[in-house]
Amino acid sequence: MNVKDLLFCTGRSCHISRSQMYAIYASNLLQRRRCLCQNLLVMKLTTLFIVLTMVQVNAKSFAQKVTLSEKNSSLESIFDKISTQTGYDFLFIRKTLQKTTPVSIEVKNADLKEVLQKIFDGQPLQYSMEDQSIVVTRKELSPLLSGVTTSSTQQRSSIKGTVVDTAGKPLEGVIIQLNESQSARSAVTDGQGLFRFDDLQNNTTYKLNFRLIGYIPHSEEVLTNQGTTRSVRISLRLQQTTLDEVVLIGYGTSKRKDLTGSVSTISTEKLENLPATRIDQMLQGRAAGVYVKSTNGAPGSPTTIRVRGSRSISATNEPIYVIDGIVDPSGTNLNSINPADIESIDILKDASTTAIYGSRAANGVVLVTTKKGKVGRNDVRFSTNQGMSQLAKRPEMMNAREFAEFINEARIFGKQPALYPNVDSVTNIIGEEGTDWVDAVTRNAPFSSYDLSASGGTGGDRGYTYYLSGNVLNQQGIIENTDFERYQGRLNFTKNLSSKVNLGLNLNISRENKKLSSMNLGSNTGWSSSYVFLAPTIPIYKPDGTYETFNPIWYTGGHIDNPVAIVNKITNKQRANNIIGNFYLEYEPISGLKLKSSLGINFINQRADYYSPSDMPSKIYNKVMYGSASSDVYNTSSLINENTANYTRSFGNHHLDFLLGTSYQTRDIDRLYASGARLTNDITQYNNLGITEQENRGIASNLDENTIISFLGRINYDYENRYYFTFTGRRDGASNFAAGKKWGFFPSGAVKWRISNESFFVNSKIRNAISDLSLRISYGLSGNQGIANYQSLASLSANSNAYIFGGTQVLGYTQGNVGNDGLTWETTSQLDAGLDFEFFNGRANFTADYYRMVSKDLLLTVQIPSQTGYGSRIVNLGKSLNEGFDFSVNGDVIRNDNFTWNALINVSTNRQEVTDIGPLSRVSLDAGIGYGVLTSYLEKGVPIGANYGVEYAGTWKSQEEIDAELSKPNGERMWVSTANLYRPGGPRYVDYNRDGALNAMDYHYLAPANPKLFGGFGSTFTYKRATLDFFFQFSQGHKMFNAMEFFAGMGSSLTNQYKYMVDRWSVNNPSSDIPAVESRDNIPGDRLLHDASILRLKSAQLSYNLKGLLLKKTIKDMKVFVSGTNLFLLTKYNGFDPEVNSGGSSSTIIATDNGNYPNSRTVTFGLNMTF
Amino acid sequence: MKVYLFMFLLLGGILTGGCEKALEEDAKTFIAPDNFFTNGEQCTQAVNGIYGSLHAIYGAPEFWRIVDLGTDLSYTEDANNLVPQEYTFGSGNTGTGGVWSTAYTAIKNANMVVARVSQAPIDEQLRGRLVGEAKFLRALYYFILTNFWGDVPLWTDELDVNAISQLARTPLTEVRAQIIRDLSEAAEALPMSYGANDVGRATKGAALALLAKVYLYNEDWTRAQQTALQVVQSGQYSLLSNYADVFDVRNRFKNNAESIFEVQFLRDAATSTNIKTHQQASYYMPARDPGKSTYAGVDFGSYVIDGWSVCRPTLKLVEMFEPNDQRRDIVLGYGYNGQPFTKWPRLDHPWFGPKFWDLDANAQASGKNLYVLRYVDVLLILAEAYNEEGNTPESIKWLNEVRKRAQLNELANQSQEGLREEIMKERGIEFAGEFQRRWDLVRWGKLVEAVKSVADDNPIGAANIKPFHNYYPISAEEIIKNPNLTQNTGY
Repeated sequence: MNVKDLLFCTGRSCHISRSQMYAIYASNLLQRRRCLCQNLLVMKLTTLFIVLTMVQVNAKSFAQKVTLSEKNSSLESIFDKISTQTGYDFLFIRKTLQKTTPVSIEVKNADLKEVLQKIFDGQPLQYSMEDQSIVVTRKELSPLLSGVTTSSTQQRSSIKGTVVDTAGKPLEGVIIQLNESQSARSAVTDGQGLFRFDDLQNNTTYKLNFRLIGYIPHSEEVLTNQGTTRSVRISLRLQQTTLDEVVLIGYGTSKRKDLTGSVSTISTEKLENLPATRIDQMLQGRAAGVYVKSTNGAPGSPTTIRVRGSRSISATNEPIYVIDGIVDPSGTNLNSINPADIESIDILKDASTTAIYGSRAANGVVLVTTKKGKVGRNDVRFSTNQGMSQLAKRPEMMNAREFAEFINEARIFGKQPALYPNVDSVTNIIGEEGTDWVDAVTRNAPFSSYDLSASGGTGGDRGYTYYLSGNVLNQQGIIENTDFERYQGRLNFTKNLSSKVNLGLNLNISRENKKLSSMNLGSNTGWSSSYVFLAPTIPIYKPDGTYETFNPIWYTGGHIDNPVAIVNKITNKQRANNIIGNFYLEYEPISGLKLKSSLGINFINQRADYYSPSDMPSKIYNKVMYGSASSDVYNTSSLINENTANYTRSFGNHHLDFLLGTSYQTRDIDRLYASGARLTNDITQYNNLGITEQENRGIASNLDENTIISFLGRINYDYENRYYFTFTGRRDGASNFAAGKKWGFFPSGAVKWRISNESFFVNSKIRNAISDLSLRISYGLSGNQGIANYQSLASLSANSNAYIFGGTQVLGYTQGNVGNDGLTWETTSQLDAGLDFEFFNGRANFTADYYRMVSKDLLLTVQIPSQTGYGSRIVNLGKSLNEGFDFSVNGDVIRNDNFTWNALINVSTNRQEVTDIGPLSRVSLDAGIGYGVLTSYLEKGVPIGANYGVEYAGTWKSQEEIDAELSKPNGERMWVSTANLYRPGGPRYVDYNRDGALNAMDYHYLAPANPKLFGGFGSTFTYKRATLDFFFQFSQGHKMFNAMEFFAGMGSSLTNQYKYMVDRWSVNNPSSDIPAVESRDNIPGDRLLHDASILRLKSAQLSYNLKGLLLKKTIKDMKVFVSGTNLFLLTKYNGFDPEVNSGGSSSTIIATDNGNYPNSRTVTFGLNMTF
Repeated sequence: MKVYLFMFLLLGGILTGGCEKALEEDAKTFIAPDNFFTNGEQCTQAVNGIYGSLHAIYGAPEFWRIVDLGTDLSYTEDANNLVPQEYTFGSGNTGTGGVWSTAYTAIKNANMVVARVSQAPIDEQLRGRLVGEAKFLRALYYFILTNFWGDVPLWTDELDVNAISQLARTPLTEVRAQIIRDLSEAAEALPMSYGANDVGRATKGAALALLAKVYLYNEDWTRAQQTALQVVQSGQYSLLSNYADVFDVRNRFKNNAESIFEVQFLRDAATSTNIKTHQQASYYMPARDPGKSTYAGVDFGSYVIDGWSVCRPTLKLVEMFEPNDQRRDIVLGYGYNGQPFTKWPRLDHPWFGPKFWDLDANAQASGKNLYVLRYVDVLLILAEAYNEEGNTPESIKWLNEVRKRAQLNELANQSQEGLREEIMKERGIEFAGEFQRRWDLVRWGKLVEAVKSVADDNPIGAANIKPFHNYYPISAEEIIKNPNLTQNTGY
């Protein structure tokens, strides 16, 4: 329809200048002056409403009190006055005001609604308030408004067209402005996205401007034909206005502009098409305050996530996950969820938002929401991603010649004959480089993923929506014979039973298969057969083609299974069947009150199988050719029932939102394990363990049950969208605490002042630059109960091999867990203060938060006097502190029709320390490196799990130097070594406590294990159809021990060495500060402690949009892309990758690389299509 | 609408309800002490658990090095074992490893068993025996503790963590009094012997033998002598005719007639299955030649045990042996199977001998039992007690029993002082490497003198040793955790 004549007149319509008001603005342009138009606009009111609905989002708020003193005034003049006072615009068609009665009114500081009621009393009009507009219409629709009157002249030409969004969905209510020489015309698209301009000049170029709230304005020049209709198709891109973003806050949603707490939202749009198997892998660097680190690079491996630092020592520091309302405390389901199904990820960080999850929320909450069908759409989407992974980085080890020379020197040093008296004869056979064991077991591994989904729905009281999807993914590992496979399907369905009742189901079913590596990945205790440590002079195969087993440097020589044999022959696999489902019923008995009840289930059925065949080379050598097998079956079943009542109501300027609810969750895990050794065949493996002889069988089983019951509530209140208050409370009862100590209450409160809605701000010029500004402050408590079950109960522990009587082993019981009647919640109080800025109407925004968290009553395994018969017990004791800043900036740097550049950056800081750990001021932690090497500890005043050790002070250069040092009195000695390494070339260390001896008293704080600064930055460039997106992730200020160097960097003759050991101290190289041969001392010197800072090109993607180029009718959208992850890494670390942790998600062992599956670089290409 | 409301309530109400009940933990994987001790088998299994700590003490290298190294009988050159020998230990590095905590772990379990089994509704005779076993073991663990540290915290009730965490040290005399009480009661309750399935449990003889020993340590010569005589008179025990047989793995030496109480280990050599093993053989074997199955130049055939030769005999021990002493070639290692070794640890020093080897061991794992109390001990207690009482003829009589078995001539009359020297020497030879020497030297007040006497083999230890070294230091960590603990003097 043509917007020939516009409608309306109002007081302050001229003020409407925000982008969201384009529609009105566009119309207004036609008039140049307000109230000029005398003729009626003819358009469908419904369209207008849609426009207005769009308009209302992101409203300004004005004073809503009205003072009037009018006698027999026209409605129009009264509208004008109200408009001036309140900022509300009146929208009406002038004609509607005909036959209205003049109004007399006398009110002082009255509520706008009251005033309106009075004014319209008795008038043939109705009105509706749409945020900042009041739409006035006739009580019955005037026929004038529904028709289209044109006097088209066929001689002249026309332009018609369709406006769609990037997904090809028609857009309704788009205002199209067409400029002619003297005037301008407008049109609005209908429900099919159609518009039309008639009566245009032939062969003329018209410029059409398309505007729709929430979309980036677009202009297009169109040349008309000769007397016929020219057809165009226009697509509008969504404008990113984060303030209007709906944010999940737990048991509800909020618009970002109304949010009182601190929530990081991750747009999954930018994560699309990246080759990730799990969504947490892609969160690295994406959210301010959220530090995500992979624990190892095996396909399907979990990450470890720290939201605003770590606070617990003996309990978990991992956040909880809530997947479509199902609380998954340990994130065990992430392998089952297809990242492509995820709509949004919101990470709750401050106490105000996390308190709704009470006792489990102190470490943050990750809310994962999957996609739902959209009413009115009917999309089928297919995408595929195919590519390769490869080893990204590797340590530099000695080659065959270097190693042979090294081992000879070591042997001669040990007063033994050289191992390779003739080095050339060795390299003549095996080559200069020798066997590259890393290369021998790694590979370029294919990645392949297929997604197919269908979604859509219909509206209405009996409507429904659906989202159906399936995913097949296969990621081969870069180590031979490792992989991750997923077969997954999802159904998200909602159905309205009436206007008041709807129900829904989210169901995810998956099967995951994993093959794991059994090879030693470089752990110290595995030096005899590790792919890092094995000598390059050992061939993989003997001349007869069988595996080489002889390791000449295994002490005085021994036989092993080499890594190639292990990866090829040993079966180590896991499979899991996983069902996550959530069924809910929602009922709205009266307007504003919503009752919701849901029942969620999570069943995981997991089995791990292991088989070592009888023909392992070492077994052949030792002539003990038997197979050994085991099977470990875990069943997890979790039920969650939640019931909430939510009531939303506005009283004038007061807006209230109440939430009350209950939650009941139970989870049990049972396990059954069986093993069999000395199997005489290789066929049945773990599938028939019964054929093992009795004494070679092993069995175990156990059951673990946990229940949490909760009552929760929240009140959100705001006054005029200026002052916001939130109070949240949750009372939780958890079974894993002592009787009488099971219940905890976790309250929080938040206030927010939306400064930009204050009149002084609204009226100031700064409003042009800063379109929104809010200050938030929140404080509250949240809890942590992440300890194992049954810790408060005393137990007996059984040992089937307790003692020997009569020559047979007997079962014995001893005291197991020491009971603790007082075991209860760990509590974290958190203060958060934040500022939110939005610039240039949403073109850019900036958020800054400061937080300070004090955790007390830490669930701490505290050291107790050994005279009790126990070394430690878990109690509530200890304190920790975290503080820091989160910053994030996001904005469109360039926004043109053809080119846009969106940039984002987030930076977070974290300072953390332990403030109390009980009677012992220092507790060493065993990082599992072996040989008594302790590299991390707890101490008051330093961060949790900090690196500790001694300062390396180079090597002893000569015996004279050593004698001189040893002759000094104790207090004056600077350098010490272990007893046997007071020799030239021996490593020496700073005598920290000046007692003249190297011992644990010299160990002290060296560096934190968690970064002080971390974050990410990225950009998206779009030029016409091409889009380039990249994202960097960084962390800085933390260090980690490369545990592999305790052997491979200390001249140990048991393993191959790092290449830098070529420059070791020797009589020929007496000035070197790199230790000589045989200098292994198991001392954590800071020479082996490396800066773990990184800058990583985490992901990049180049895509090209083919929409409209191919099969226009069937394909709504189509994109081809090349994408990659871990493409580039800048680090000083000399292992494979510093982003690993041998401690997994351990709370205290944070940065140790004691042999981990290395991270890989993956590059894929693919396409996605929507039909 | 009512239908929906009903559906709603139904769904909502399904699971919520019975809150407190639902939160009660009903553990099914493990057993709480309150649910245990209901029958004889359970009570027996709880007693078995106390025995388990014997492995952790007697089977640990640290125990061997703190009882035998740093005396006059053995020395080491192994860098990891030097601390006790060189007397460089202090409260930050006690050199005693986990003995303190292991002993208290066992005491904690024994206390629970005594408290709970005493109340258990089981056969009275079995109950008496089980409580007796627990008391014997508790006494043994306290005996070990007092020998290393002197005064130690004493507690005998079931664990109250908060109270026991603050317990101060009890004077040695009171701890000994408790040990005597426990052993006396155990001796009353325990049987003379067991059926085949229970061989290895504490017997009446074991309780009496240990009791006699504690009296000896208390210098209560009369009671020591009376108690030891009860063991002799029981007729349960006799000396094996050949000293070598007492330690010969291949000759079914376990739980022989001479054994009163020994720590049971097990390794199934036929299937090469390690069930409960220790590494003593590796520690005391002659050094294995690199890359070969020969030890000190002699081929042991299929013998594939690691030979680290951590512990070596001092020259003083070598010289203690009188000519013709049958024990010499068993305690000391000069060769194997008729072939003399070709390499030696030091000039004129042999290796430790077949007493410590285990021909059935594999790598480091030996299933050889380790003696706590042998009948010889009882005889030597008698000899010592009589001598100290001034009854020389009785003393010589019992000492000669031991000498006869070693194929030595019988001693004639001696002065009390001379006989004391003979007994001390005899204990040194007879129990070399059997975890007695340090304790004996300490009670005789001869530790410093003894260590200084082997200055050639242990020069640093001889230089460092002071009288306060009679007792080890209490770990500084323990004192931080329990400020009521006082440190031994000197540390």
